[in-house]
Amino acid sequence: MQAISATFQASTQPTGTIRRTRALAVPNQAIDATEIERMSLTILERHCAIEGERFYRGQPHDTRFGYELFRRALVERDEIAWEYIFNQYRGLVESWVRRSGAFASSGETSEFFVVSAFTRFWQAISAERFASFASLAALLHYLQLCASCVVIDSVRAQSWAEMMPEEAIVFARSPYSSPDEEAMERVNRTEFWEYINALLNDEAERVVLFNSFVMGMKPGDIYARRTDLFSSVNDVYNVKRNVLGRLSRNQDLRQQFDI
Amino acid sequence: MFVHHQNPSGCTLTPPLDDLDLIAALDGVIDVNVRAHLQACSSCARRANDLAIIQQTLQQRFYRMFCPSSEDLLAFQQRMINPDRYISIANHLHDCQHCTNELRMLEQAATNTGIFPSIGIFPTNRIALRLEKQGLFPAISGAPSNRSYGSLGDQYIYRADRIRLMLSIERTFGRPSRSIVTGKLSVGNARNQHGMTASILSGEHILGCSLIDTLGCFTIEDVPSGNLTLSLRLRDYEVVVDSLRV
Repeated sequence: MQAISATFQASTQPTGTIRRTRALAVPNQAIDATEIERMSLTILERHCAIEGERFYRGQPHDTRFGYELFRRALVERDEIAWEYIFNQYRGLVESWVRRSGAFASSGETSEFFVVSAFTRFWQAISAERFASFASLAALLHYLQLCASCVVIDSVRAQSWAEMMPEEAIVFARSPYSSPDEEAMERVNRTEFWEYINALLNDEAERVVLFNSFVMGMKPGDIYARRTDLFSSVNDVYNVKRNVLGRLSRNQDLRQQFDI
Repeated sequence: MFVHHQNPSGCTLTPPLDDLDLIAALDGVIDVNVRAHLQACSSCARRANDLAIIQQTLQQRFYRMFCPSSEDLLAFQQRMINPDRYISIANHLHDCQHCTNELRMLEQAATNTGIFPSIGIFPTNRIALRLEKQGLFPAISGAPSNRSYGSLGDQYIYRADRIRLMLSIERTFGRPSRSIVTGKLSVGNARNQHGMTASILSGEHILGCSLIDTLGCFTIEDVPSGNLTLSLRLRDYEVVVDSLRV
């Protein structure tokens, strides 16, 4: 992961060098698959640039070069190929991000989402998994979905911010320094959930607890969803009062979980 | 007007607030009387604070704790997930409006825009640059300094409003019918154009293209002679030099 981050850094820093390309004389139809596999990265990049430009201009284009470039980046883990892919497709990814309804209100730069989308794509497609992507279209389709995923994560972070004060978010969603730490946190939350559940008396209380604190719903919404269980919004409020009252009086809970 | 007296909960005002009033207030459903009561009565304010702490603790620990990660949601949408996990997420979606909305976002991304949305990606705004100067200028910043190819060629400055393009066209050494086109683009104070492309076209046919680097520089080699078009595809518009004689 460090290597790939470094690639992103490198590709976004001024280098002072100029990419050059030669006009390609050989018609693409004459180039067979074996030749593409053996092609130098420089030539492959040139073909990709031209085919990419054809694609952007709505002209017929050959996707085999782009697919081969992805293969080298993802199967052979060739960082130069990866850097080229990043530069070649970042504009496309940015256009996907900007089209997302959630982008405008996210407060993040499009560059943030673009880098995150590529990172997620890189992490998700291992050499073994690459075989399940049969074409450049399938790869780009997946890249597009990765872009949506990073926007979704941003939306989730926003909903956290709306749900809780900033200091609580830092406490609740601080970055974990290791997978062990994350796993421990998950176990702690599950244990706490089971502990609280054991203090509930019936289905109505479980529904109120779940919908209030797991789903973040207001009593009116809970009632609208479960009219089979509650006869009015006041019913929901009463159940919520009973649960919170019981929990706040529980000394063991206060001591064990530092409430 | 509140009347002061001490009730069993410690509330000093009437009418006293019960827990339902406090919970509604914490949920954002609060009327002016309750607000005024909480400002005036330290006992009820303390009770409200206790309830707020326990609510916050529950939210911190439980909010969306059963939701699949966005990666899992993507795997679900793509059906690239084991059957047990697929069923588990499908059941979760039945109860969770948050994840249902997010899955909808993924599905829209997958279906509405298409994979190759050629319409809307290529900028529709086309800006034609006009020749401002022709002659010998200082070397284009960022260009290779020790060129072993070509003689000193023609140099041009093109402009349109805040867009400025320095262009150099040199013959390729040993191949007089071929040229190297080197350019440096600057667009006012706009962010860099890294990742965008420069292309040489003959009509609709693309003869060569190159990515534009962070300094706005590009080089296209092996360009055949002719009356050609240089197209710079930027994020929001296309900049062109029509009738470029190479």
